[in-house]
Amino acid sequence: MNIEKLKNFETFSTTSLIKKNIFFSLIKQLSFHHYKHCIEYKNIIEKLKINLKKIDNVEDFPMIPVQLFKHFDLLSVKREKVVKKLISSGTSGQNPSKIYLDKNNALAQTKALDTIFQKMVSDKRLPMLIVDRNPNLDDRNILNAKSAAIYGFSIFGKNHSYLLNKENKIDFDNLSKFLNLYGKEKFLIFGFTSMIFEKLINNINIKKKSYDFNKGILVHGGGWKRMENLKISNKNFKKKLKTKLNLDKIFNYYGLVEQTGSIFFESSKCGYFHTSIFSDIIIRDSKFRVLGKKSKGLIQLLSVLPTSYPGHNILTEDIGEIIGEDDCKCGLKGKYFKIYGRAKEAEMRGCSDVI
Amino acid sequence: MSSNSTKEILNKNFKVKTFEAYNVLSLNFLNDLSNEIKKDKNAMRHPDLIYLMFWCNKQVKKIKSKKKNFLVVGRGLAFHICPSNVPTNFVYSFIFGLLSGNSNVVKIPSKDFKEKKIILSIINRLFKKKIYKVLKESNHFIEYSSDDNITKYLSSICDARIIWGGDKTINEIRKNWIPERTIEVTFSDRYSFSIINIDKLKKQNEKYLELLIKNFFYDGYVMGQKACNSPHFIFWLGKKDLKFQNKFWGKLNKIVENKFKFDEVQAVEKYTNLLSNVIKNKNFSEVKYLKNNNLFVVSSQKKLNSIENIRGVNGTFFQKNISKLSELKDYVSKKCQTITYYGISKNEFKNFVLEYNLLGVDRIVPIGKSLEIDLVWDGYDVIKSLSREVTYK
Repeated sequence: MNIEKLKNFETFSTTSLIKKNIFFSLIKQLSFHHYKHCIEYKNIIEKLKINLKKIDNVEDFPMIPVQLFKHFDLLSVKREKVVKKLISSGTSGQNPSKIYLDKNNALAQTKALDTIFQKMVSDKRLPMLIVDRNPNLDDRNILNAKSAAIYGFSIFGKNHSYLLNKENKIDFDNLSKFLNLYGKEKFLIFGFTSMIFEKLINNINIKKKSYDFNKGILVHGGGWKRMENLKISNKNFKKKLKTKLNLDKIFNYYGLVEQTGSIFFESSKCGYFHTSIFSDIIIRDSKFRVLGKKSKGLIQLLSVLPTSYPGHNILTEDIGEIIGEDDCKCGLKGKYFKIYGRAKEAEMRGCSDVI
Repeated sequence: MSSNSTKEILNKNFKVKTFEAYNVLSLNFLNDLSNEIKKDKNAMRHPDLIYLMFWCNKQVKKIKSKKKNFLVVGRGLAFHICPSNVPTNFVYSFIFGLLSGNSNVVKIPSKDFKEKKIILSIINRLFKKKIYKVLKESNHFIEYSSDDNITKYLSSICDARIIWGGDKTINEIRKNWIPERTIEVTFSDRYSFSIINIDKLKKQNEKYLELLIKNFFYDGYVMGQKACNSPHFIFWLGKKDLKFQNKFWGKLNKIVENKFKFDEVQAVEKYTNLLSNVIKNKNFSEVKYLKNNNLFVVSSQKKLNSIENIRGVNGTFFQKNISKLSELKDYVSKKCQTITYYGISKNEFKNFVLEYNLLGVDRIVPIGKSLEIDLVWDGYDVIKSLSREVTYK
């Protein structure tokens, strides 16, 4: 497991120079691994006449566009080895992404997330308030992105309590109970960004009662599409959490369901997202040329975790900007970056149903 | 028709009127539309609208020189269902209806296209003029996402139904009853390709070659290969000459580099489409010019079953060498719309279509003319189809 090979490296304190070689060799190995085990990946490499052996720069490995996981079932293990299937929430009318995990890959995700969470948020398991409904799934082997996130993050908490009832409304009794029991000491709050906004920020005062979340540590992410419709800036979002809920320990994360585990946290000290030893980011222009820092472009994400599906090198549809590398004022090493959301949809033309 | 329910969906002033086909008012309107586009700075920023401006002008000239029959009139109410993903298609559909003398209800795309807004405001500006009062009252643009009740109602009262869209869309809309005398014209999903006589092209000078490639660029890139008439495959007829073919692509690549700007969404879409094609079609042998993202060329040596669903996006082309025109017959299905060509004669094509009993191909035009919308479209004489001829003896 690649994560074992990285255990001697600091998750967020390894400089790019030290990370470079090990990260390159892991991505190279993964590229060969998927070439050997995923027929579609092999097809792409061969038809595009890419010589994996000759590549000596991590930027030159072929990227898989995120949409490809929507059109195809991409596996690098035999189907019978699959223990878990993750499904992206996807935009309506589109096929969702399907990610197939074997035991090892699922375990690697959990371990990486655990390491990242401990370093960035909390190394203790704290009582956890989840700003959502209880997914109450009988079958935890097929998960949509939301349930996967809830279950994925819930291992970092204890005494879990869900803010919403079955009707998707705030369960105020439950909330009071939770805050009475645990609100006087550190506790965790987790939810999709849009849910935090719609439920926690906008609806909490319905009963004209105020709640103190001052001891809370909020972890939120995902739900991009809906947030863009709401048009609220990150800064404003934080301000509202402070004024309405007295909540100021806030951790925003960015990640793909295609690279679950190796997520990126926004550091509360600098407000930027940071790469970890498990991940890297590259920004490209529309001709896929690599852009240097302080240029906006398409986000390409690399992760050393995916082994049961070819998701180690993904071209996203998101726009981002690398601010710098190794020199962030917050003290963390590696690249730090900003995200601007989905690339703006160009005008589609055509008369066909076929993509 | 119950006038009460009409009022709920249509303007209360809406009146169904019929006019003579190619009537002077409609021609004047087309003329004014062309002029208004030309005057509108915003409009002139969009290639589709510039094209529309020229197109309107051209039609007016063409129509004026046409011989008239005794009496051709509109059928009545024409209900147009236009695709949600093409910004200006609805205008052409509307003009088809207008020129054939109908009153029109046009369902416009629900997406937020800039071109759509601009052209609608120009049309509305013209409608406000006194001379076009009657057009204002008999034409209506309607925007709704997918309300079956509206489609059902408009279908039940129309005299002509025009549907643009994929097969699924058309079948879905066809579930809505239309009166017995109502005619239906469907513009369904089609595909188009190019054929080049390589032996003849090699004999041309550089200048000619460059002009042809420029024309090919226009066909292939202006609509991002998303129109039914955009080419995807290019067949090289004659003796295989990879060096020459590569020269062709190299020159195209340069034109794209200088003239075509991709945004990020188009780039991702193009790359995803390429990889999807590579995964889906085992018969492709290789992909060329991958690095700069301007142009992808996918070669295929083996025979393919069908090219109907093999589509590129934003500049991805598939090439195949053939030694005889007859080899093309396997690639012309019912869904084939346009063949753009270089170096093949009228008679060669005529014999080809007749000899092999081809059910497809509606247009055969020189390279560079693929996007020119004609009043004969998808094999229909559109004006004839949407009007009624009265005979007098």
